[in-house]
Amino acid sequence: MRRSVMPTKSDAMPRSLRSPVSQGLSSAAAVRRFELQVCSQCATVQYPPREACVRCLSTRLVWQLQSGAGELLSRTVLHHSHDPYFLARLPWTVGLVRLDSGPTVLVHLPQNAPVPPARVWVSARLDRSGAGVLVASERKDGADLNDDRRLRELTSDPSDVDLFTTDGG
Amino acid sequence: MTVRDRKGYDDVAVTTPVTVPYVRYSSHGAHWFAASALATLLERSGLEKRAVDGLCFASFTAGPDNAVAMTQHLGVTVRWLDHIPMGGVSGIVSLRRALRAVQSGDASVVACIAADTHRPDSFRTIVENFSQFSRDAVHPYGAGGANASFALLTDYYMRTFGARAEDFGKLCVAQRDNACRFPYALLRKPLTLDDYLNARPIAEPLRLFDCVMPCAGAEAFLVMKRRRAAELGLAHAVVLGATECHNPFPDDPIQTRGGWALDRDELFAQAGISHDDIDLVQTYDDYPVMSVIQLEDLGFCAKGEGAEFIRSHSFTTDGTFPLNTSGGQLSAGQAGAAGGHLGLTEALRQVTGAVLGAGVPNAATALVSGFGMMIYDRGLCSGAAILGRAA
Repeated sequence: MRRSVMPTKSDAMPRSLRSPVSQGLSSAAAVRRFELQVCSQCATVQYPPREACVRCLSTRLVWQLQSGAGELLSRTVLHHSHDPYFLARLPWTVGLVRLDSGPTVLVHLPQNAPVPPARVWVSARLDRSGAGVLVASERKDGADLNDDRRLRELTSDPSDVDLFTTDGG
Repeated sequence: MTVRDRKGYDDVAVTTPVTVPYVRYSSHGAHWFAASALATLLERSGLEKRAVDGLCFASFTAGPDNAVAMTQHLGVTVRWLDHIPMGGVSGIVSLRRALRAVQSGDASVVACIAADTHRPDSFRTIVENFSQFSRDAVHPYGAGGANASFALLTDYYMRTFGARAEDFGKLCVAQRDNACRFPYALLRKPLTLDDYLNARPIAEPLRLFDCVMPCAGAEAFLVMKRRRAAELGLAHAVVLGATECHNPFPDDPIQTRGGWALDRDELFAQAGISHDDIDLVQTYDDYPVMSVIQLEDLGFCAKGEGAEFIRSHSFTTDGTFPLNTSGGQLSAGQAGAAGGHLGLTEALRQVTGAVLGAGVPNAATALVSGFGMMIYDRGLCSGAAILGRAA
């Protein structure tokens, strides 16, 4: 079913309380790149974002493109949420992925997500609050993510939206 | 880990366990519960307020106030003050701080108080303000609370070690049985394994009775020199050993163990006893999987053998392994940081023979474990203490 672009109450995501240091993830996600902080001194890849390297404490951190390859360690299907956006869309599936580059990341999963342990690829999208979120797919191209209505909606995929165009005159 | 040569706590007493009865919701502030706890400590110990010269305070809902504000709210003048924002391990940590303060003479009587209220909106406030990592990397994923995080750990534990829902259910059913005889437990309707298995899913594989019920209440106790406790005629316990550890295994991909795995040898060496000498255990049971992980890491069974341990034991007060004898948080309710003290006050009652519910026969030695603070993907704080009946 095609949905309207008119926002409804349940479309509203809560005020984002993200830290300034997490902005790099969102900036990259805006152009569909999955980037994490990498230490210029010791090359440690880290997540969640920090002000300094968790290993050597260097503050010279750069956001670098990640392959996203990792192993899905566990998953859960939420039947309850305190967040009105998700409450209106239950059940909701999330999982923990151990990236090959080191960190463990919490990710959104499509409803047909594989049973752990499984190889997955993590990518970054913008959610409806405009902040970067991580999603995992069992396909490297993430094609199955586009089959999942809830994830399309969460990440404001334009294929679900009727667009009005005018000549502006 | 090498066992360090740590001084014992022989000359210090832990006494006067107080529970301010829990309620599901309260219009009172956390301060009301803190005041009730202190008033009861004074009434039961016979001490005057001015005799309390140390305060250790823990709360999730006293904000914006902390321990400093609490001195003015409660009208106490103290020369030793600590605030322990460590949730499920706050009781163990408060105890450790207070023991050394009294032992060194920096304070003579320390009141350790955990008090929390619960209002319909308070849970959301706690969650929103829990940590920067949770704001950046947990909240955007939909749960808005700890259930999802512990569901992921439970899912992994079950897949990796072959634990079944029935194993976790057996713990929950036994604790409910204990709660049925404990006057302050909020959940005292008998629970069957079928009830547990047929309960609605919350975050798979967690079902309703895997999750604690948030509530309001307070827990408190006093720490003073043993001589003073004897003069006051107060039943008391001594602490044979106590440890704490924070951020123990940062490179584990997912949590299957906590700091107890690093500390247990030191804990038992300091106490000078073995596992067979423990008469009852109070784990931090925010979710059953954490009780299992604590029993493994504390050395009652090997890692991964928790499910088999459950199948071969019974956990009621008259069972082969008395556990969470007041019902634990799963049946008593989780009154915020008081949930990190409930095991201590109950263990203190058991070893001093002052039980409110069912007593473990001839209980002389109890192990209490704390766990808390899931800042991102794992609980960072762990601690444990062994309490012994004062000779």
